Amino acid sequence: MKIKPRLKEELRKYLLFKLSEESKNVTIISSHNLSNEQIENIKIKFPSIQNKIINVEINENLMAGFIIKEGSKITDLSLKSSINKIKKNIYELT
Amino acid sequence: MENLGIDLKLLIAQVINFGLFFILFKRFIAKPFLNLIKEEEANEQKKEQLRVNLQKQDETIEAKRSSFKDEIAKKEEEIVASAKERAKAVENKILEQAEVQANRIKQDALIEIASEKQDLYKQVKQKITDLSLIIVDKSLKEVLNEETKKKITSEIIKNLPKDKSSYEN
Repeated sequence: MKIKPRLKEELRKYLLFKLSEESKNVTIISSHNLSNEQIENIKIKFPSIQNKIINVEINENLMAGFIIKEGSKITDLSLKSSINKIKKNIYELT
Repeated sequence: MENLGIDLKLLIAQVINFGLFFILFKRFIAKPFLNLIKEEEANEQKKEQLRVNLQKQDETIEAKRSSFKDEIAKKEEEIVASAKERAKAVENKILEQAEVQANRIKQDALIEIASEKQDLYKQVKQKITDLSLIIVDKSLKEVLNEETKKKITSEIIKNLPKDKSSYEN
């Protein structure tokens, strides 16, 4: 099936727009409500998110720590992921 | 002679008569009879000879039969002995094969048992790990309150290394 060039161009533009929109936003998923000080400290540690809109979400399953979603990039610093890493290491050892 | 009551003519006639009778008897009766008797005797002798020959043949046949019987018995013994020997050899071979097979089965079973033991051990280890982590998970969920969570998060932020590649997914 051949896609019309005009449609193709529009689709490309839409995807670029979505990507630029997404790149403007950063989501921090935390196990609890993050204080402003903590958010600022995170921004200091992650300079790439400093000028972006930050959305904070709560997920109690993380137990402690947080996850940063920046476009397609995910940085997991939660206690849950640490436990999972330990579990994975034990499995590899056995 | 006449006074004695003997008739000479009659006497002579009787003598001639007797002589004729004797000649005729000897010639036509006694000789064939004797020949018949001799023939009978010869036949008897032949029969006797035949009987003796038959007896000899019987004896020979009996001897041969006995010899054959002995030979057959000997052959039978040989065959039985040979069969026994072969049966023993086959039995030994079967026993050896059975032993080899049994050893192989035993070895396979041991290997399988060892493998199953290893698998089981691994499964138990994994179960223990799972259980331990579930316990840790549950305990942490129960222990962690809002304040502790905040403290832990602050500690995580504080201890973040400068090299982000070490924690970035």
